[in-house]
Amino acid sequence: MGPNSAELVLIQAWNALRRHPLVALGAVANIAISLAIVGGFFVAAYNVEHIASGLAREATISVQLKDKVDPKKVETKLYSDTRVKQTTFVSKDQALEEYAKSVNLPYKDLKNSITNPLPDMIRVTVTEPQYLTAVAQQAKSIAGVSKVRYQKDVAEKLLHVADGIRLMGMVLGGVMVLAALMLVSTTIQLGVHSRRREIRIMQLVGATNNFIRAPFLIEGAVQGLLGGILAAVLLLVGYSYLHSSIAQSLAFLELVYNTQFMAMCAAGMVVLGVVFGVVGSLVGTRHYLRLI
Amino acid sequence: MIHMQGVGLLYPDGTRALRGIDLHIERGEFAFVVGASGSGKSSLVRLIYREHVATEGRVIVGGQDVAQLPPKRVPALRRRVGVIFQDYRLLPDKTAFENVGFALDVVGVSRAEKYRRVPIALELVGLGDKAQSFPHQLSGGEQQRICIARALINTPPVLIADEPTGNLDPDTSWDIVQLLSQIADNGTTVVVATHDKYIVDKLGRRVISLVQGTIVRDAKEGGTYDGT
Repeated sequence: MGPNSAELVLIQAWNALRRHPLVALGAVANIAISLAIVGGFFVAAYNVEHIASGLAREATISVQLKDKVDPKKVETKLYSDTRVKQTTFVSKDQALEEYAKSVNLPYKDLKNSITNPLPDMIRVTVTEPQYLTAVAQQAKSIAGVSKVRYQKDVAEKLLHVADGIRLMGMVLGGVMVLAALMLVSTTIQLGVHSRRREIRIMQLVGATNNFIRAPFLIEGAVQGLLGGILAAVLLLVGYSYLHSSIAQSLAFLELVYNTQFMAMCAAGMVVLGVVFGVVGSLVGTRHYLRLI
Repeated sequence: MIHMQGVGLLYPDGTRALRGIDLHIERGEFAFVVGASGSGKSSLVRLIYREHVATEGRVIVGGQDVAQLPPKRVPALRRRVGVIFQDYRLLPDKTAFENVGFALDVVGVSRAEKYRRVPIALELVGLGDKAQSFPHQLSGGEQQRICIARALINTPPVLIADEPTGNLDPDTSWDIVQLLSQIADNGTTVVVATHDKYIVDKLGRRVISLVQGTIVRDAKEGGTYDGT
């Protein structure tokens, strides 16, 4: 395509947007709303997944030691496993102090009234929650270890939940993207339909289908870009509002909220918008260009 | 230039439009295709620029079998066959200049070349002063002239006119047909489908008559609408 043709295509696309502003506006609004819904869904799914796997990641393994075992040796052995993230030694006295605190008793009274039944132990956290079981099994075989305890059920269930959410998010998200794409291409097809006579004339004077299609693609890309920007604004404003209201009332729910994540969301909306516009135009014009 | 052999056309709905058409039109020849409504004259000329595809026989335009043409090469054929429509088919939101220039745009002609050639074409059809008018600001005859300028701008070897005077008064019709006749005299093959007895008889050129999709008469020079 020569410089003159490229210029022509841009002029035609611009004229179409200028001469049919309501049709263009409808398409932009449609893309923005579809994208904001898809984006909102993804952000929600991502957060639920994040919370579930974060909870699972916090799960610890308590490795209880036999009496008079050197905790350093066991700790070194535990730490040599690359799946172990951190080990913390908790002496029986510290453990009792923690317990006293948790049941709201003065530690000194408790210590003086009973012989401490708690063993020395090492708290182990793992790099990825799915290693919990394997690391716990491993710990059992170390000399000097009496008992290994961890919240197996809770951790595994949370992991399961996180996996399920991820899978459901991908499937549902895919379906939503497809549905949104169909909606967008139908809107664009309405615009194309109103210009079908024009398209036929172009064909009859010898225009190639690529030549006819090009302005529609540019138009779709511009509409997609505008729709994407609008969707990004909607999503970021909505999410910031949600974040601040959750921080006040449900503080234990920690949403992902950082510049990088927000920038990714915004960029995702804009890119997806352009893709929607271009693919929507391709699908929308296909019907009218099939007839030669 | 145009050669048809055993051509038939059956529409998808089962209507038979043409049957057993054998026809040969020389380079630079002017021919009317006449007949009542539904006789198949429009269908016949539409085969030439492949708006319809023959279901039987061969349609050869400039040495090329049009029916066998892959879709990708149809635009190239249409650039060699200028078409004038009864309803003009101008782009409504483009000026006369832009409508004519559009046929150059699709071929990828430079802007400078376009600004040189479009005024000449408009001048040729007598509308040099209407370049900036939009179709709705022009009369039927003027719109038809724009359509002719557009069909001619790429200097195609073949010019097809499908009922070019269908919507025009007798005087304007006669002007348009004379213009087409001059174009043929300059070496362009011109085929005009019409049921306008007045212009056919007055011009006295070759007349191909169709009845129910078959050629019933082919009068060379000096032909009339009903052969009398």
